[in-house]
Amino acid sequence: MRFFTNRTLVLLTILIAGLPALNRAATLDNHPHWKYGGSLPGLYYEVLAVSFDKAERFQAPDGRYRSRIPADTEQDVRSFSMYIMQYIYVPALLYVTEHEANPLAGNRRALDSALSSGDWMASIVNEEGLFVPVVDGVKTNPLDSHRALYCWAEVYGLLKNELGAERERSWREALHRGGQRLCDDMRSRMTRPRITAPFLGTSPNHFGLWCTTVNRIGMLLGLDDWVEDSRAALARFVREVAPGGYWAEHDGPTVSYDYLNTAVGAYYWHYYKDPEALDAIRANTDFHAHWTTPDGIDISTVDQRNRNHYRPRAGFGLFSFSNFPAGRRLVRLKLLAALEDKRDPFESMGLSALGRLAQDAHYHSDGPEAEIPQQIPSYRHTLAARPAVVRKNGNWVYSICALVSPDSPLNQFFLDRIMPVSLWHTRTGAIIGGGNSKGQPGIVTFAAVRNGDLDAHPLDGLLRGSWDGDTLCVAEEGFSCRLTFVTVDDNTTLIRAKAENTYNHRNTALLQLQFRLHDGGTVTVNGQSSTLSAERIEREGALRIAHNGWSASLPEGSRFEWPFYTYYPYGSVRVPENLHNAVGRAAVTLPDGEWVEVRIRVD
Amino acid sequence: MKIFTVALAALAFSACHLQAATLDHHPHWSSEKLPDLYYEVLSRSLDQALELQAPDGRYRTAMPAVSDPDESGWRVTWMQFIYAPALLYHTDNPANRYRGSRQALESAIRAGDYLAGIVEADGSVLPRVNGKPTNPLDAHRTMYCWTEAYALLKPHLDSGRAARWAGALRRAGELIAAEEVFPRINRPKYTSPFLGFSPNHLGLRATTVWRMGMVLDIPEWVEKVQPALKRFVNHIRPGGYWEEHNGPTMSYDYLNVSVAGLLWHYSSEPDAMRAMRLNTDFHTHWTTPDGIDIHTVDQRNRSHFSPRASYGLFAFSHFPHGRRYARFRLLTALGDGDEPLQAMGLESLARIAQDAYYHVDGVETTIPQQEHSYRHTLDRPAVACKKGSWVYSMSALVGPERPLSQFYLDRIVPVSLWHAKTAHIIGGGNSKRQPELATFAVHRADGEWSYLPLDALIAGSREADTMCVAHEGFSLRFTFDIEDDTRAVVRAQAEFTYDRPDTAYLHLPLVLHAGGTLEAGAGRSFTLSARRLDLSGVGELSHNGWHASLPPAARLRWPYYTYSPYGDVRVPENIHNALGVLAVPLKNDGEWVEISFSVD
Repeated sequence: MRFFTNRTLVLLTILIAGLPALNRAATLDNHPHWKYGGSLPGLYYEVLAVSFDKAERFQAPDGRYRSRIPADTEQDVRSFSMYIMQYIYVPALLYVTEHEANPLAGNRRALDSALSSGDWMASIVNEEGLFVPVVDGVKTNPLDSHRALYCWAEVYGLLKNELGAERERSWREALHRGGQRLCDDMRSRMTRPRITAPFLGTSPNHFGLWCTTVNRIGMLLGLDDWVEDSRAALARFVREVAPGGYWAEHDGPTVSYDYLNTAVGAYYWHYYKDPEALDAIRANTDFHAHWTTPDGIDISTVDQRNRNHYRPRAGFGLFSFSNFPAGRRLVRLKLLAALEDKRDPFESMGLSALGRLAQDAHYHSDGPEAEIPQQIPSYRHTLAARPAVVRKNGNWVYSICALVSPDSPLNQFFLDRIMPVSLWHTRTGAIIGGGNSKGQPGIVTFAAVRNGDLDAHPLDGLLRGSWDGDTLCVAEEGFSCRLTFVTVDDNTTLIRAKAENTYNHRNTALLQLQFRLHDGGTVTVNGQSSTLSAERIEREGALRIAHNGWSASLPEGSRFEWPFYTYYPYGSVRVPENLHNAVGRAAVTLPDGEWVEVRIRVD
Repeated sequence: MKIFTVALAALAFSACHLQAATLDHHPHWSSEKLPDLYYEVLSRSLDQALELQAPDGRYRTAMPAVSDPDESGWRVTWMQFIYAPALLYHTDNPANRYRGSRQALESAIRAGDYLAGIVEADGSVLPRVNGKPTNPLDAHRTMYCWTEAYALLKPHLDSGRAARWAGALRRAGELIAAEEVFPRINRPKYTSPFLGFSPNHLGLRATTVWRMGMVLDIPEWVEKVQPALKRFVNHIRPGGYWEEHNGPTMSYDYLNVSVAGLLWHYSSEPDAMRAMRLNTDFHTHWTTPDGIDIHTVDQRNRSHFSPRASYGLFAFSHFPHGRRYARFRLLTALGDGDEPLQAMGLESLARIAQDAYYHVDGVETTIPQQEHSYRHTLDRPAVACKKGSWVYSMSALVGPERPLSQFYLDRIVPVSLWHAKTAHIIGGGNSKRQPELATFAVHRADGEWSYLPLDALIAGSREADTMCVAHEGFSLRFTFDIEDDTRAVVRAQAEFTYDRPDTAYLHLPLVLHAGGTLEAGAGRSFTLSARRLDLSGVGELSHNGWHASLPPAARLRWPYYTYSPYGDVRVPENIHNALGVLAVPLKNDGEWVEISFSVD
């Protein structure tokens, strides 16, 4: 049965759903800290202007932006990264832009901040075009300096008339040197067979950002060959968008890095009006608009790069969405969600994201807003040609990802696709979720116990479904498995799962669910309450788990454990003991051919 | 233009002696068309089968050896041959010498009586030789053929025998239906990972139960199975093949199309016709002009370069080019002799009976093997291309591994090269855990091999196809350049994707014939035997009428024994299936390496 087809019922349901949806209501319609929270680009300028107060106070004497006043030199060195320097875009944009929400138009402090920052940038580009950032005499990590280079190039374009001849020459030459290295990297890869990580050796988001940086510097410095080559690369880049509206970094979607990719598509559309670029960013807007829960959090089950850490995200690529009415509202939803419940964007978003928010404001396409999926009572969205679905049913949002992809065993940055599912409720946020992982069979949705060892190697996956229900079908060696979500009512959802032996063996199939538990909170298992800390909790049997306003009833033969630490692709430790990113692992034994049921209820 | 094409085709024909010998020169076979050739072949085979039939009714390929009186190699699937005498006894055709023959009838009856005697009360098939149980593997195939024979001969069976046969068939059918068909027809997908066995097994078992339902008048079997058969035919991929797991198989695909052929015959289901049309297009393009399947896309079997004709030819016979293709395949499978039993075996001949019975007569038209050139791609990245006397193929399919199943090969982006005068020069197809056969493999600094690609694609057109393959650390390219009718050049290139202290290799599996001669470099000549050869820096290779010019760093090893999914040994030392592996290290700076092949 189709949910809520009558328009009156739809409006009524929005109102009802709106009441408990505190996060959503507080963001799109209730934004007490933000005078211009009802429209863009006013909200951008208000946020950027507010952020500048702290940025200016924390700015180092040498022009570097900082996220705090360091206690000592060591902290100054340790806390600095080149990502932060993208913030240079903010004061420059504020200085040149007249907008009622921007009190810093023509403001000398903003100009001085940008100039001193740019001077520092010019000083760290060496003769070979390498960035050699030095903090208090100590060389620091130049990782991804190209992102700051892009923002600095935009600043050069905005402030060129304010620089004076000597500074203009110094900046121009440094931009040229830095850009030349990127241009070389771009040219060496632009004819690779496919713009994906396996063929590029770097993620396509890097390649795309390099191209836009080379292109923009080429435009600003009058380097026609740079412009010509990067334009060709960008034309190819936008044509690599998958039919489902995402750029594959290897195989299938990413979510987090996809915002960087759509920023590339939108930049190219802005300057070249290639219809393929508009088609790409339209498809991408549709993708992101549906793969976001009503509290503005990305749904990461389809993400091959990152697990979900449940932080709202607003930075790269919002200007891409602003080309479409629904996209403009999605932007506002995401930005308001990212700002949290305070008037301190410097703290809630950070310097890097604010730098990209300046890009979003600079390239914003103004126009009316339209309703987004988060505002309607029900929708069902699938990815074209790949088996993944996200569905909203009243207060519930679930997603299922049945993608099977080649492993990247030697690459720490690409996760194994493990058929993850997610479940979200308006009153509780995520209940089940987390997404993909690497080398962690304990959180693969379907796994087999063979000779006592947990083994998970999905051979195939597909979705069979319609508006009335979606079933995830997964083949493991020896088992044909199914999982369905059944939305009983606005407070109850059932998860049903079944495994059928495909040939005779003595192995056991398991359903495994990743419960989103909040460290520091309380979990109650069969009436016994525990504070969620690093202390292990293990329970077996028929289980009733309660946490954060929801409860889950699991059948006999289940096992629950906390904390299950999860994979992390960055840093030096792959599975750090980070409680914030830990999940509660539930494993349910699946008898041959019998459906088992997990009942989730929100009080 | 048309004249030019015909002239080129004529030139190609003159060079392509294997093809000419089969389609146009078949001195042992007088029939010029189907179905006559089927009946001529079946009649000839029955001559021998009658002589070899055991006293208990079993068909055999030879008289038992003194050293093996219990015929340890005997297989119950040989009993599919019952279909042949039954069909011959029943069918009027000028090429059929056994129409109404008492010998044929009695042979079929004895075989049927044997089969009735090995179906147990619970429907299981327990074949015996001299009272000793033997392997019942795939007995369902025989049950199908016996069902067809029963339907053909029913008017000629006495009532007691008819009842015994019908009872045994029903018992066997009930077990197949209850254990293998009904529990699986609602599985999410008709592929091996979800079924637990190959879809060809499900398709054949389902048609067996369905056909038994018709013949034994069990309408509930027909009603229950027919929707599953419709679902089966709709599992065909846009590229015209049924997936057993991920992407095409080649050898087993003939079994799958026979399922569609039967469904169409009895139900006129339009989806079955669509499937057969797509499948005919697939197979006609993925066959070299000597009738050998091109196995680079096959996930189940490597190529052993034997022509094959048995299952599914009747599905092709719905189309003019399919009829010629069926005749072409049968003639190549018959070889140069006049003994089909030796050339094809009992099981294949039984399926030739099915092909004859369900044959759709009509005109023939030209097949791709007769064209001067064609280029055919699948819905997945794979291409087969004929240019004059050359045929090459590339498979850029990447599929999930099946580490726990011996039956599914690793997809290793294989390529093949064939010439009209030499047949296969490069080929073999996929393998399992044999990095040295992967077209591209990376030797890691720690000594390990990586050979399963991260991604692959084919960038190309009629003028040139380039296979692009990604391995961790490398972006690799491979092309075939057909320079003229006697010279083809293979080029390959590797580019670092990021700095790794690893080395990428191009591997070419060369088809070397055991017992033949290999000339390497100036004046060095080797007879190819089990004795190991490991040759580096030889510059030139010659074998079987072809010559290869190699880069200095190339290394050839012989014999490289290849994977077999059957039997007890995964890499048996079978010299017939061995290859010469040519390995060429690739520089990481994008420099192309070149290997040229020429044919005298």
